[in-house]
Amino acid sequence: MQIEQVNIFGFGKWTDQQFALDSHFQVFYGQNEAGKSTLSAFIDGVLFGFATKKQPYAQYIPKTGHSYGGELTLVQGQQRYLIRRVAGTAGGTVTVTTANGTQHGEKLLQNLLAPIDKTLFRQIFRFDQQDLTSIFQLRKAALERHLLTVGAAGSHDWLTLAQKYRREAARLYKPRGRVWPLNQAFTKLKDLNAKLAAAQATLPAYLAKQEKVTRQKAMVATLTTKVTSVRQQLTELERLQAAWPNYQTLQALEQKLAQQPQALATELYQDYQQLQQQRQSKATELQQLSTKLNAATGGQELAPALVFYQQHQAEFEHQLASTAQVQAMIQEKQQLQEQQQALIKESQQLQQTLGVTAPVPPLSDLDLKQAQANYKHRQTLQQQQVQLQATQQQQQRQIEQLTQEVTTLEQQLQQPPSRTQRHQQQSHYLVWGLVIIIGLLLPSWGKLLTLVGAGGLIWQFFNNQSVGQTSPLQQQWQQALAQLDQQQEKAVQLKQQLTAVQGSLAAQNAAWETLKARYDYQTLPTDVILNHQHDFKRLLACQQQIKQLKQRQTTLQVQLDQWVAGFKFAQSWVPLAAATPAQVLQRAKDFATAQAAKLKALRDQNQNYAYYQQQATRVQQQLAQLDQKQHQLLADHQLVSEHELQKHQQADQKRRQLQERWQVLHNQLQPDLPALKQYADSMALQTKVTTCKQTLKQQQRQLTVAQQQLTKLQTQLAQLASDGSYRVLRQQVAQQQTEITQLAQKWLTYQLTAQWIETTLTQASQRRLPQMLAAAQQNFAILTQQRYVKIILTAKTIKVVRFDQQQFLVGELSQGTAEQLYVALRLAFAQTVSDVQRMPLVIDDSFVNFDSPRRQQVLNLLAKLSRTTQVIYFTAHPVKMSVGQQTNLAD
Amino acid sequence: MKFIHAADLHLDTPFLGLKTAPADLWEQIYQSTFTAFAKIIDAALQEKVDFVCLVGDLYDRAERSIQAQLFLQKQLQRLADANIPVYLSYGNHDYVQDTTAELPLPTNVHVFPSAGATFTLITHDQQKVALSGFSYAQRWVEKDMTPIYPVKAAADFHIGLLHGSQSGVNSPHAVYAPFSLTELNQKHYDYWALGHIHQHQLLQKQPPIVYAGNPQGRNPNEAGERGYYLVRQNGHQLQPEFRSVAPLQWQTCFVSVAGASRLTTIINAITKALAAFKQPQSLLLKVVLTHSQQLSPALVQRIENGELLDYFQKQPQHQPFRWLYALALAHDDGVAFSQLDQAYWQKSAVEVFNAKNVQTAAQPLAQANFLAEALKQESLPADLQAQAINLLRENKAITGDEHAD
Repeated sequence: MQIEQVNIFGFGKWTDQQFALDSHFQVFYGQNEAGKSTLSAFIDGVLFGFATKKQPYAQYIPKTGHSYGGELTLVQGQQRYLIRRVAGTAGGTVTVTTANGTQHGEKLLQNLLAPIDKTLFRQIFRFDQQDLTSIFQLRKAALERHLLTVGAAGSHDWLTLAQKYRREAARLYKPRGRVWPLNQAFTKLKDLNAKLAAAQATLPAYLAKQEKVTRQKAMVATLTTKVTSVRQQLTELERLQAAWPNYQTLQALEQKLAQQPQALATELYQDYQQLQQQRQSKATELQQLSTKLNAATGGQELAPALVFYQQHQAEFEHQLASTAQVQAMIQEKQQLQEQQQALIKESQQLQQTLGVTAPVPPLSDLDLKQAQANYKHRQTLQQQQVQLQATQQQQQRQIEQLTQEVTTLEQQLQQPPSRTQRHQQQSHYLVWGLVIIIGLLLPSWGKLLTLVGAGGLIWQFFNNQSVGQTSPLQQQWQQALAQLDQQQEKAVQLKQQLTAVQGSLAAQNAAWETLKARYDYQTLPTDVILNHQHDFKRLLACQQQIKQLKQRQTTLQVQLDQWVAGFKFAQSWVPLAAATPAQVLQRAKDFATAQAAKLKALRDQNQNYAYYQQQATRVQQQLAQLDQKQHQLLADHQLVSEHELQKHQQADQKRRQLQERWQVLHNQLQPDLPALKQYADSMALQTKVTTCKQTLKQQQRQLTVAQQQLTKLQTQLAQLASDGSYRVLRQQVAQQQTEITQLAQKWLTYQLTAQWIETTLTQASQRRLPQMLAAAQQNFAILTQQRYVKIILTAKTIKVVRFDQQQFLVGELSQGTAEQLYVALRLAFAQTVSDVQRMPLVIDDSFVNFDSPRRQQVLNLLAKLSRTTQVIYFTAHPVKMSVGQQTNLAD
Repeated sequence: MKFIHAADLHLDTPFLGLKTAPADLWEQIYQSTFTAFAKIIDAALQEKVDFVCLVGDLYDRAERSIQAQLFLQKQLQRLADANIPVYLSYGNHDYVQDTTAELPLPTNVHVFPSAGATFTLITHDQQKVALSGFSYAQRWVEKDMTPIYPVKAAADFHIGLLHGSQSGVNSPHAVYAPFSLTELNQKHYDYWALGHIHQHQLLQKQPPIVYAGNPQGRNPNEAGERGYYLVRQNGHQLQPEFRSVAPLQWQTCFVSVAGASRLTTIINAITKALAAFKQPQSLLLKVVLTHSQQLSPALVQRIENGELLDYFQKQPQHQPFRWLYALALAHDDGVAFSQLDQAYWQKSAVEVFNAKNVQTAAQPLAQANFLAEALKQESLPADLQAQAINLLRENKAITGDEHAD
């Protein structure tokens, strides 16, 4: 396709402007603001649509009020089309007029241009300065990538976008980064997971706590039971304490009861009472009889004594009936007393004889024999001792004599020779010595004198020796010494014998002392002990007899006393006080006999009286019988008198009272008794109560503490159970995971989008590059003036071959050469695409940075390309060119 | 005879796919797995069922939260109080490792041991029911577990509880007790209560082989109605009926933005679409804007940078929630690259946007499990491509059908 004609109605600075274009190579030149870009944008706009309101700066609506838009005349496939685009919706309204004048809409335009659209046109067929500059500013490595993808439409923009996405991705996450959102999200998740793990540990804690609660509950239950039991115990104890006074009383009662004499049978009192009543009635009867008797005497006043006798005649008779017995007893007593006296006297004598104050037990026969033997033995031993001692003394005397004799002899023997004698001897030796010395001093013959001296000396010596020979005195001394030795030996023997005897004697004495101690004889002389054993026996017998006699006498005395007591009724007539039984007997007899005589006289005087008397006597007898019975009754119960009976009765009554009281208390205390009995006294009970109270207090305190603990634990347990932090944390973890997943997806989107772009570009480029290669090589050779002759493409690298067959990687090329390579490839790509749709190449001052030789090479290349493709070249300066047409926009 | 078949409760699970939500909604989210299960228990009591089957993954994790345990204990106690037995097996998420860290379950609960067991019971109408199953003892059970299930014998009805997945080629679930329908049918059971797959479905109509699905969806992939099966006797057959309980539903909503040149137009379109939802449940919505190739790069950018989503998330919310958690742009026809290189773009797109290349590209991301899982999503390459196109359009590198106004 070529553009033949441009007709602008109004577009930016251009209004009503027409340009005819060379169909191969059209150059527009002009300084800045000359309208190069506007013209370029117009062509672009008519072909692919004007910029919309969304891109106001890309709009070229004329300020002068001319209508917006214009026309292009195209030749496509030998056909000429007039494209008119004016203001309208979505990029302007298009009218396509064909050569035959038919008009069409935008659709036809798109069909004409397909597959090239606005983007592709810009990417492939338009070269502008900005575009190239950005490429040329790339670092070598990036440039290579661009070179490799140059075969895809818009590869530069796409690559920039891909890089942008890579950067975006890196701003989300870096494998070893820290501050990037996704890195931080991972860190946060880690923290949350750690927290979660900690929160998870609450389950064992919960279970443990539950276990604790169970234990604590059991403990509280135990303590409660304990407290209850102690409280019960305390109540019990306090009751015991309240009962204690009664218990004490009970105990006192029991003690009293124990002390009370044995109760007598109740019948006894009744029987006795009955007898007493009978007696009373008889006494009354007797009283009546007495009155009658008095009457019978005719009012004659009777002596009180007689009246008394009359009334008690029977009693007197009863008492006096035993006169003989009483007399016998008195007599017996007297005899006994006499016997006793005699025995006492004998005992006293015996005691005197024996030298004792109390009777001493005699030795048993065996001990007596032993004592006697012991005594004999001791006698013998003492005699031996005496003899031995005498012999010893004798011996001693002999020894002394002998000693004296020996001493005398020794004195005689040891008398030394006289002073003169000794002196003589010494002078003899001196003389003989001098002779020897003189002899030695004398001449040879004179020396003989020495021999004479020596001989004299020797003789003197022997002479002296012979003076010590045995004498008769010495013999005598030796004999005396021998005798002394003999005597001393004997003395030792004697001493030994004596010691033996003394030992035996001591043993015997000890045995004797032991015996004495056994019988309490310490104070007694041996003679008495050994020879008066019969006296000991007798004394003992006396004592026993005296004792027996005393007993008998006592018995008799009691009987007599009883009998005397029988006269108590007659006390005023027969004085009893301080009277012996014999005296009482006599007095009673006298009184009774006197009164009986009087009574007989009276009886004889009066018949009636006699009768009454008879009656009275009968009653009296009956009374006596009753008395007898009463006595018997008392005697049967070991009672002496009625008084005693009464005492007994009182005691029994008291006992009954005590018993009743005891019973009441006992009934009352019955249930507590076993418990009360455990305590010795109220103090012990009090102590127990105090202890119990303390225990209770302590246990109650424990219980309170345990209950508080339990409440606390239960609260904690409830808190744990209701604690939602675990689930909140888990949810937070889930949220964080969601966050991470989304960020990861975003990151992946960036990465994959970049990858997609790169893959697409690579694929497209890889597919096209081989086709492009020939054109590219040619372009490159032209641009480098044949310095580089070949381009070698692999998937990852581009190499170029210099005319000398030297190969270079892109990185090894100079910046200028690399740029030339890019231009060569880009133009080759446009050429390749032109196989599908041949569009004009629009070069917008792109090579402004090239030096002039290079720019010239580019122009040469463009001139060559213009043979097949229309080239529209905008530049600031006119160019040297062999083909095509130059238009100065300033015109 | 009547029973409930539920599975995959995943109690106390966090919701994936949400970055933000109002406090009220969070509360509802926290409660949702609990509420869903409580509703199942309500139904069991109301329907007076003979028993309840819970086929694995009661908890979301092997380490079970206190709240989840207490809740389960409480709910199962409600059944215990009503004398309704529960047959329970643990799955790959709550495999039984250590029972000491577990609150005791009521006595009406029969837990299948890892070696497998068969429990029997007599229903209210005097029918003998046998139930066979097993629990996971570790994270994975790669073995085919069907041999441990006995063939139906004396019982009137025999029910199999199986937490696992159908053995198929290339299934990522193959490590979860794989089974085949043939194997299951050989047991002559009257009902197979399955768990593990969260999408409720009938693998076979009669005798029913049924995945109950999870009662509450917890991520965008678990969209739609969620619940349990109420199974009734119909003659000699058992008839399952799906019942929805999820208090929160995930949904995807398509809104056309054809011809829209302003953001307000799009906002109105979306608002209208949201108003059309009449469900009583709260919805977690992903809005897909179709015909987005007609949007100007500026609009695309405003949508892509989250401005539109932000607008909706800032609107006052009220029950039932209509919460927009994501907005996506969808292109309905080809993208206009320059005709000259169109073929290359398409060809390289195939090379770039595929699972393998995505994995390779994602390698620099230190991948945690959840992320690896997310990056394995089948739809991801296409999504990424769509996003890439949006990105290119934002940068005006390619053109859409944009019309100047």
